[in-house]
Amino acid sequence: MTAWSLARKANRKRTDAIQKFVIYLILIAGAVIVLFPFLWTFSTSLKTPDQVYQIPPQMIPDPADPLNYARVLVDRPFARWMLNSLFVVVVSTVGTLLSCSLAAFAFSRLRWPLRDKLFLVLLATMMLPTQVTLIPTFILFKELGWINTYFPITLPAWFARNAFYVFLLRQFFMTIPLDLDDAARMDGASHLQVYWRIILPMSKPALGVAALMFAQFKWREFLAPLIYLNRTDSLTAAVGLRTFMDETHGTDWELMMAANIMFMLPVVIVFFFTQRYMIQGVVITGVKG
Amino acid sequence: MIRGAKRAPAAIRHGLNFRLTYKQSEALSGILMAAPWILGFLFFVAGPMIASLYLAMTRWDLFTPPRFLGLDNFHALLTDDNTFWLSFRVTTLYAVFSVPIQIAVGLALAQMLNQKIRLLGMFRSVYYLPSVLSGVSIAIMFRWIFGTQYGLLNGALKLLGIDPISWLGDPSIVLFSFILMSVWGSGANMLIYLGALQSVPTELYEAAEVDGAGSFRKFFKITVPMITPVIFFTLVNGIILSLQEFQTPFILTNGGPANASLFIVLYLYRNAFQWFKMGYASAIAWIIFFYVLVLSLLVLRSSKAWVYYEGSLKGRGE
Amino acid sequence: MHKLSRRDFLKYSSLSAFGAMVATSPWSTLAQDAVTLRLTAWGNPTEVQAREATLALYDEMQDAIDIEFIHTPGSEYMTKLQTQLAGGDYPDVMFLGNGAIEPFVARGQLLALDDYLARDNFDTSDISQQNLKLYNVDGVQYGFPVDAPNQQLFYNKTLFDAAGIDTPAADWEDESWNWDAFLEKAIALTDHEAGIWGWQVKTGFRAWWIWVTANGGTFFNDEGTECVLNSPAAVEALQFLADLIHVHEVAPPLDVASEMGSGELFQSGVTAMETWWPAIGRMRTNIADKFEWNVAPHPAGAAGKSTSGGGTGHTVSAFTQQPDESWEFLKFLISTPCVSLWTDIMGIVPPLTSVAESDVFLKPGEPPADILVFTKGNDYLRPDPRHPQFTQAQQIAQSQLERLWVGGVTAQEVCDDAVAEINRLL
Repeated sequence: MTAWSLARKANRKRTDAIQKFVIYLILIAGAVIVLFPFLWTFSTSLKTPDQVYQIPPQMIPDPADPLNYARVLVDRPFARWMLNSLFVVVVSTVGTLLSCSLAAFAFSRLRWPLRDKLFLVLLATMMLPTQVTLIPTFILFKELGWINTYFPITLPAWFARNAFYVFLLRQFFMTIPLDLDDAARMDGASHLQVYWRIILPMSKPALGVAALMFAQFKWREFLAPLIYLNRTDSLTAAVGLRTFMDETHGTDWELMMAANIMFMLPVVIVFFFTQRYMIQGVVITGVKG
Repeated sequence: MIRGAKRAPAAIRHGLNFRLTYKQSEALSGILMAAPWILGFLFFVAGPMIASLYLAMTRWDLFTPPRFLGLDNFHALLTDDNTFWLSFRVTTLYAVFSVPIQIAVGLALAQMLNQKIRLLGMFRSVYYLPSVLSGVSIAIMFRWIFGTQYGLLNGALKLLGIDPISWLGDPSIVLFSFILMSVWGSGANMLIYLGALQSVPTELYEAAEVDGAGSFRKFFKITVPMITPVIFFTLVNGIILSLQEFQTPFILTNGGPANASLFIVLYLYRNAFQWFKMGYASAIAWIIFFYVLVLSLLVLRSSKAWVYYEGSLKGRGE
Repeated sequence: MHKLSRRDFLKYSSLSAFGAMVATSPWSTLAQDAVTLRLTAWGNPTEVQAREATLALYDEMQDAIDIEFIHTPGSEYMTKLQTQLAGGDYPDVMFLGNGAIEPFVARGQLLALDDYLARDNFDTSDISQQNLKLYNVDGVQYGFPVDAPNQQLFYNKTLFDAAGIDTPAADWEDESWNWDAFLEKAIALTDHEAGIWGWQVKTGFRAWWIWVTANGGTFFNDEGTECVLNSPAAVEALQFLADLIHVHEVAPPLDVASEMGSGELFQSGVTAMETWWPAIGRMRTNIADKFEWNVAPHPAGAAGKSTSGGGTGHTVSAFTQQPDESWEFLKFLISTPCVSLWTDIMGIVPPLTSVAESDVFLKPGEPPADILVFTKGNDYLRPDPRHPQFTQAQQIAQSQLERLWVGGVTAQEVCDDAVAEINRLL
């Protein structure tokens, strides 16, 4: 009996080891595929214009020209654009998390009239291509005097404008057992308290995922800031990045790529340092099914 | 007070005392908590959507007043516009393949990156990296990857002794290349699944292990069923996003060669902002809208059969 | 040369930084009652430099008008501009591609300049007349050109020398430089082993329009009621180009061309000849000393030589609140000092004859040696067809022709299909 279970354990250990090895192999191969284009981007960001147009292409530019980064920062107000983006991202992410999680709670854990019909409406708002609501929305914001301000790209976030995140959080909330709510209600907690004291703390990974995805979406958002911001100084980085590209007069790839590296660096750093907290933080608190 | 209230009509009683039944207070909380979204919808979203529906029934060149046409735009699109149907087919094919692939790859990545391995944070970051790039950077990057002579992909194939493939220049291959490219975006799904995996109770796995279940069985019998609400989300969301794909084909191929990558929103965009046909473009948008809506409703309907809600209100008197 | 351009860059950026400081200091607005005009334009970093330098110059020259520059990425410029206009948020001065002039005029968006031209007795004789006409609809002037970008044939002289063949004639009247001579050279230059191509078939409209018009073909009939791209002359020209890819194999297949965005092959030294619009400044920087290059007209077809082009111009919104000031600013933009500065930074072909004859443009000692090909080519310019449905018709032709470039069909077939589809539109 013991011998048999020991053998089984050893066997399990061996298959585990093989499995781990295969996983590492896949992960490393995938990582190389994913990373290579980024290395290429980085390599291009260090080239001189004539090196960019060299065939066969050079992987390691010789001589390298780190001045491209300085030019992006000095010639164009790229640092300023990144700060603008940071402002927009922070303000609208807080708003989105609050308003969307409230709505998601209402849609997933409370019963109220028209709830399911309104949820369909909510889904439907994501289904119309934005290109055709662009002009009516522009007119609306113009009447409000919001052109050339950050209101059009931050304030709607406080009203759960991005239905995507209501939907996402609703789905996450639905994986949490309802008994928890009932128990808390029994102890006299209000619905708002259930939301704030039970569901939100239990949904840290979900909120983390939503925050990160929204922040990253907002960081990259292009169309709305393009339309509503006019002053060069007030542009966001995603729009500023596109100004390096020009089909008529040609793109300065080396500058574009240097800007690109700087554009994605903050997000990668934030992700790297938060993913552990966000994804593993909750295992400790655990969900007692 | 209570005695008096008992005699008064129910509506007045509630109005006077603010003492609501449990059901009513739940309803009130629900409406109040959804209020920000409801207000935002009424204020920011509903108006422009109605306006575009009206415009879909007009001829509008953006600058001179719209002329009402009734359903003519829809009629022309559905019966007399080959390019529309071509783009419809291209987009549908793309969605049919890219959505399941993104879900599968995302799930596989999440599963692999949800265990104790070395450099976990680094691997997670690397796989999330593509999602960080702006749409235009991805398009530019893929111009290098898919290049025929000096492209990275063909370079790799050359090492394996395979002849160069014309990824973006061959009408019969270009859509496949776009599907391949969509795998790149699986990092976002990975992140969502990673988040969802955290709420799968560990007891379930322990119990399964006692029963001698291997990793594959655990994955398909426990992990997948437990996160179906989130898989459902990525499915619906994937359909919505893939049918509205625009940025990458716009930058990378501009619909070519020979319209083989003419995604439907790209066709819409041309009508709206290049050909002064905003009314027609709005009609296209509303056809996409109904198409996505019908597909989503089908998924929603089917979800009752395969999505498992731990926190479901169903069966609680609903 | 590289050093020099970097010094220029520093000079202009410090100049513009100074300009920005002055513009943003509180005193500048207190000191005078300046009118602010909103100028909307796109442009890459070099063009922004040129923009800022010319605006700084304008700021030095006068105090009455301030310019607010709205810079929009090029690929989405029209989306933003049309949204602004449709929403009633009108800029004063707009940078517009010449293709947008007619549709904008037809929809009442542009201010007619004729009264101002007459009032100031404004002399337009220095402006290249062919390019000025692009901003004229039915005899009414709506704007001025920024450049005169006619497409010419660029060639890699180093590759010609290596193959031991004569370079194409720079003289527009030299009829011996015809399609046969062209094919002969393209074949001689192509070296598949070394990855060198004699030619590149560019898919853009203006690239093949040169060949169609050189052969006597057109796009629409005179009345504009029918597309005639399937006429023998046009079909022959397009088949000739397709054969360069599939029969003679002197031009790379379509996908190789799209690799880094077409046009970058020439700068990489992979193609010996190529159609280019005159981004001369960029070409100097990007090619640097990798090889020697020069320009020539495209070879003569059955109807002689031809070139295509268009370019961008400055126009005034019909809804501007400051038409007088906008006109003043427009006059500055087409003035010799402004055009000189612009030409110097951008390295484009200027729309003013006086500047085109000056060293600011000619830059003696720098390539291309036969730079006069550009200005002399103005007389051979065959502009894009003018038709309300042209943008969409061109897109249809474009998609059909891509089938031809990919191969397996004849020019006659794709042209017939394109014509059928376009005529349904008309």
